[in-house]
Amino acid sequence: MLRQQVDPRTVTLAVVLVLAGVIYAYWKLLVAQPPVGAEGPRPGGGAAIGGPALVSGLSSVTVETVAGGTPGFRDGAATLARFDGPNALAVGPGGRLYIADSRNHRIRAWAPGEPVVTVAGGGAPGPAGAGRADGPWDRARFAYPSGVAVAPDGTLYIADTGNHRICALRDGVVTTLAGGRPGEQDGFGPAARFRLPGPLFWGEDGKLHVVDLGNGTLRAVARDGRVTTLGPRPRRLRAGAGPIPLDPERRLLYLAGQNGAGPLAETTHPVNQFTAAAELPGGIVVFVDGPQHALGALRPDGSALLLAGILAEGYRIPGIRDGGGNRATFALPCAIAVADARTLYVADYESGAIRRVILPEWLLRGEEPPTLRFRPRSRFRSEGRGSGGR
Amino acid sequence: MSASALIALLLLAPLAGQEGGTIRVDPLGRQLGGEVDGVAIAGDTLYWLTREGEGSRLRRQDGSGAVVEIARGGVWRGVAADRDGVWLAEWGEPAGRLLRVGRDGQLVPVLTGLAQPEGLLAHETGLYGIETEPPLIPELPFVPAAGPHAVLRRYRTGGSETLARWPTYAQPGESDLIAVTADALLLRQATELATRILRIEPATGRVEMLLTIPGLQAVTLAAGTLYWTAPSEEVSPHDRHASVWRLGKQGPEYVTDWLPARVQLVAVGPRVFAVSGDGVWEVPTRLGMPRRWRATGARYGAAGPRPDEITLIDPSGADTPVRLSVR
Repeated sequence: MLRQQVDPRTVTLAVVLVLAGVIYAYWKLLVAQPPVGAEGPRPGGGAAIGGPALVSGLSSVTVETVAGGTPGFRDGAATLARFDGPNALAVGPGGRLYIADSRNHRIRAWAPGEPVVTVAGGGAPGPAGAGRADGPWDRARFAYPSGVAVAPDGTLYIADTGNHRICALRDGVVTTLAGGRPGEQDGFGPAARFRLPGPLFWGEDGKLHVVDLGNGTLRAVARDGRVTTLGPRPRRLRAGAGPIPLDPERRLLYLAGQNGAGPLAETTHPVNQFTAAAELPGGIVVFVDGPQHALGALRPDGSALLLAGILAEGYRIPGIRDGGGNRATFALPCAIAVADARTLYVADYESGAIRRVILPEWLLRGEEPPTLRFRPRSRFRSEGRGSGGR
Repeated sequence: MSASALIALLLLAPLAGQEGGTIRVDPLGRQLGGEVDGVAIAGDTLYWLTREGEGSRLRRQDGSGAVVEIARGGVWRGVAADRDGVWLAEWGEPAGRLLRVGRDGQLVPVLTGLAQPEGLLAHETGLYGIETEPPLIPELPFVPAAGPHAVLRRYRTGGSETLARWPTYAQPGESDLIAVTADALLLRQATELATRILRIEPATGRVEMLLTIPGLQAVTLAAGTLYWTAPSEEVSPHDRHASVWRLGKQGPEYVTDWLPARVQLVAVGPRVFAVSGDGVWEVPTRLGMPRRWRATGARYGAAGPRPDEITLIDPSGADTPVRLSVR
């Protein structure tokens, strides 16, 4: 009966429409993705007509989560460990990574192959756990610590941001080095005042430099606890630095330096957002852009590269996907530390993840990204491990 | 209608409603409109807020089942109803407001200068809401002491009382009050990355983090027991299914699994139901499979207005709210 009513042309039309739908869906879902393997941000970036342009990082950059990944508090095996708002990193002797676990009011540590441990701070994790106390490492109390730096002798310096003080952890004991009350005053030890001290780094003068967030100034702390003001917090990037080619109109630029801020110079471009940056050998500055959930690099010639993350004009794509830089995503990355010339650590604030980033050698050699080349099929075969014997 | 036209219609059907309809999706496939931003029940009357693009829409359904649109246009992120009236939490630039909804639908500002209030809850002890203060240092939202802070407030005519203040997510999210108990308020704060359940003591201002769960999750309090959803333990590691847990005396207890992701939990007395666009399930009281009550297109549910009843809301507005008896 059906055969009598349906015209064969109708059946043909239906088949053609279904096939067209399948091909369209295949193209939409699998083909029209950010190009995998294509190196480098596309010049110009910006929104394409009809939709947002996705600009992704480099496939030759590797991003992997080495610890954490879900907000919370837990010591132990790195994959099971939890952090809540990690926002400062420092690499110590032996490659040990120190983490300011700000919302847990603790300083944590991790090294490859080792579990995550708490090295300073106690009390309840979360908002109720903020406190203030010196003493043995597990009895010390902090309030949202947001800066760490390691001295060559192994002393760990901590910016106890909510308590407006700088602490030192030496031989398992926490002591107050300077500050303790909100204000802006130079002086010795407790006579000095900070207002929300944040990122810490070592200056060329050998002193501990403190970004005094609440006062908008850069302060220096000598080993004897003397605090001096170095000047206004730098707001400009090095000369000639170019924007990430996402949106030429907005010119996204960043402050740069080690452990969150540091030696800076002027640029002619406006600064949009800053989170943290560090300098690699060869003058390459790597930086994290929290609001854009991305990792970038500025080369000595002033050109910028998006290393990892996916940027879309008008959209933010947060997450903690690991993989190549063109697929990996971050969730408000806000701290960066250099382990060696090719290895970085990045702290994801919102996801509580510590990420390891391996950079490609060509970047360190100052070369241009290799372009995607289509190679003969036979060459792929000869490279395959399973085709041995030919 | 010819067979070819029918086939063409069937093929094009999936596209309907995505462009120009009430449910809009962005180029990344995320739904932009049609979310329920608040539900309040006063007597036999249901009030609910839906997100319609940039603005909101407040509707009412009385006992007869008739639906009336009260107001639309503002950005409202919370509705509450008590014996004094119906209240709206409005977002705005540079500050938010608390509005009272008059009988004629007129919106009267009661409090202004609020820090983007949301998640209103009317209780016999007062009208509560959550506000989010901007970071002290806008460039550094990830330094908790200097970043954005959440504030729990109790509103009164002519003023408000701050009950607690604590650093909150730097990323945009949503907050709502789950329940008011004898000595504390339970609160949910969520982003796409994580959900926190907080216990706040108004008398002392103490903020205790009870749980942090990966992803955007649902929470409810049933007869004094806290229930929440979490990523599935059994089905897939991704966000396509959800499990349900509760806080027992010995700590978190795994109750059930295999529910669709993004369910909403509704407490009806000591019983807990999960509502999603795929149906309504009863969550077992001990480890077991969920029991399916009904297939529904409604994606949102609220307990009441009668005992043993859930009101199911289709945020797209395609269907009027349906009252489901779970007796």
